[in-house]
Amino acid sequence: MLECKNINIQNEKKIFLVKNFNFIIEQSQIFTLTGPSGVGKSTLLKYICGIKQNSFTYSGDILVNKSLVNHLPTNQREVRMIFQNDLLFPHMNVMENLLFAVPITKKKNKDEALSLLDKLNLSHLSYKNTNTLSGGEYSRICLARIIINKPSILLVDEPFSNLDIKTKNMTRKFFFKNISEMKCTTLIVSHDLDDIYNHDKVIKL
Amino acid sequence: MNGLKLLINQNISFLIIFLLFGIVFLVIGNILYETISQLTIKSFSNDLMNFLPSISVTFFNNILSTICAIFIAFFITEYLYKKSYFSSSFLIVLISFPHISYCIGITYLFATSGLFARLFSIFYGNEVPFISYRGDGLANLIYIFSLALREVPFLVLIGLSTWKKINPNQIQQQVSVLGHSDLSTLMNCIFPLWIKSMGLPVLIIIAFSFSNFEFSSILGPQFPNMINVKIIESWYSTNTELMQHLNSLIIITILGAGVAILLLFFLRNAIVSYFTNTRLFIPINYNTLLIGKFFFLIVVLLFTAIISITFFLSISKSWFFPSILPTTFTLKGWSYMIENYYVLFFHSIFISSTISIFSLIIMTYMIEISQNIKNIFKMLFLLSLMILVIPQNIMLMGINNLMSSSPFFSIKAWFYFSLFIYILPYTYFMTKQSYDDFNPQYIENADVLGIKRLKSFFSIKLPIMTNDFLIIFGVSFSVCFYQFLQGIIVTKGEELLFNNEVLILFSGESISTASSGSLLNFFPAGLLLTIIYIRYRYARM
Repeated sequence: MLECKNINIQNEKKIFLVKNFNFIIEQSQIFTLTGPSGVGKSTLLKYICGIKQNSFTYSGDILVNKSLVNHLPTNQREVRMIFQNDLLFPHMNVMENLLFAVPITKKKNKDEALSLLDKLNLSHLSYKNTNTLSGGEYSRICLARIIINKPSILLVDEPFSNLDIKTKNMTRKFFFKNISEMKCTTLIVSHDLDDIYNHDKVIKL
Repeated sequence: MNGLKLLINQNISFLIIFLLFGIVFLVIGNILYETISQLTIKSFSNDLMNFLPSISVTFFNNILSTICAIFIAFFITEYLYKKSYFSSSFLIVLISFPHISYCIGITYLFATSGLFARLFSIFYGNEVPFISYRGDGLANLIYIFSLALREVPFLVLIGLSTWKKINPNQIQQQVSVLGHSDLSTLMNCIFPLWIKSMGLPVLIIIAFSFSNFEFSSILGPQFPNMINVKIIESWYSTNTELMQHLNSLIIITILGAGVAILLLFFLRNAIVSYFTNTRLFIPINYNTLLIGKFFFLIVVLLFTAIISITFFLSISKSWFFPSILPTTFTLKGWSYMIENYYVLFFHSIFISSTISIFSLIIMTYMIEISQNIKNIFKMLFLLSLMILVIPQNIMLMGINNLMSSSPFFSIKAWFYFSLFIYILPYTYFMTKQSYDDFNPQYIENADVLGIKRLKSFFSIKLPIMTNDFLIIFGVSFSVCFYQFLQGIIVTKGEELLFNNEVLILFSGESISTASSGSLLNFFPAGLLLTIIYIRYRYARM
């Protein structure tokens, strides 16, 4: 469960990007966050994760499974995130990138990574260097990396915006199937009506 | 618990900074107190009048060489940025060329039987006029250009990163559609932007020129001696009158460096204002790249000539004038060096490596844990600036004074500290730059995957920044390996680096031995930076 109470975010000019914002997402619910560009959707997602911009002012409580996590660093919050322009680590190949997301590298994890790549039609890229990937391949591997991590709470910032229509449909299906199977609590930022369709609730910022 | 950890880490950073600040303030305060308390206005004004020729020569030479270095570096930067960016990485190897070996090489080039005399003897016979009969005027000229060209690789390397930030290609496109020529774009728009961002490296160069001993003693005009030479003579002297002069010379050096810095910044503003408000509507498109290419070739040829002639001298048994190449060869110089100096050589490598690694670890640790605390960076910047701007000879005299009055640490410890304190600013500036260039989203990505900070440092940051760390280590190593004044001033010869021994060899041993020593001096840093350069060239992330 993810709960945000009285969230306020001000930019360096002291203008409120987010003011008194509240919501609760129950276990395995999928919420969509929409709103015009520049309104602070990505900033809010990053704040929930614990990534702050130095010049911004933040206040409000974030509760994960009813525990306050404001004081915890990002890596201890159990909240995972897919950025709008996610990055793969350039010194690792595709497989190493996927396995970097799991705490211990085991044969089981490797098989799972291969199966994920196979489902995304990317198994031929398993040991390729990340700088040889196309934009679409790159985005899909970023998604696979977070799925193999099996997050309990996931924040997603416009995940399919870099994909062509055919790949977008295939990847969307794959992504939502996996997060449903994992019973993952998800908050997704999107402008795309197809992403919003069938979600539990839409929040407007 | 995390908050506590963070608090402890940040407090350690502050503790290290306050400790370093404390020592630096103590050193500066000590030397200023000692100097001012023993100096009277009358003796100072007398010394000022007596040393006026030396002051003028020092001031004139240092200012002029810095201005020349800036302009040459600007044109080379433009050339390398547009035409041959990868050649710029080679400049890092040139930076590693020791000042002493460089100065010795220059004397070999301009000596009455040096390389230039041999080349020009084809036309002039045995008496090449501008080499055989040179006076102090020509000595000044050689000093100015030698010092300027030695500083060019350093300025170009920093200038290139500034150039990249300016985005000159876009400026060029925008300005050319307004009808300006390439030269006009370069001087009216790009030069003012570039020079404004080059404050720190220029400051480092001018402060160095006022404290270096190698250039002044080997290449500087003998009559009048430059202030940098006089100050060391007085430091070593047991003559009461000369010792009294030392106090005046310390104040003169500090004032001289201060006035030179102010003058250069005034000049910079005047030049920027002139170029910003004057339109160079030159109808012909002069190829400005040719100027840069010409200067780049001069720098590369000069360093190549120095290395070549030093090498030939190190293996020559007989090399009579006007023969261009030696007639008989010997390896006596090299074997003498290896037999007698290998301990000092490896000892210097060990000290330099240890201090550089230590400095890099401290800086990385402090920057890593203090990324959100701007005050720590401000204090580190201030500390680095103080160390670099105060002439090194004065600062080291302060360390020596402190060492004499403090029974706590051995000479060795003070020697290592005095080396460390001069590596620190370079390590700080380079490490900070690398951290600023590093994309923070890699770490944010690792964070949202639940990876701990320590693991993400070793698995993400370190591999991505390996080239940067290697370059920082290479440059710090070469800076440390070529420190010179610590051995002369702080320990008064009790602890030396191999670099110090090369100058002693130059004044006492045979020319083949001195030349072997000079080349051997270049070998460790040159080899290290060549390996780093090749790795950077072919294993870029």
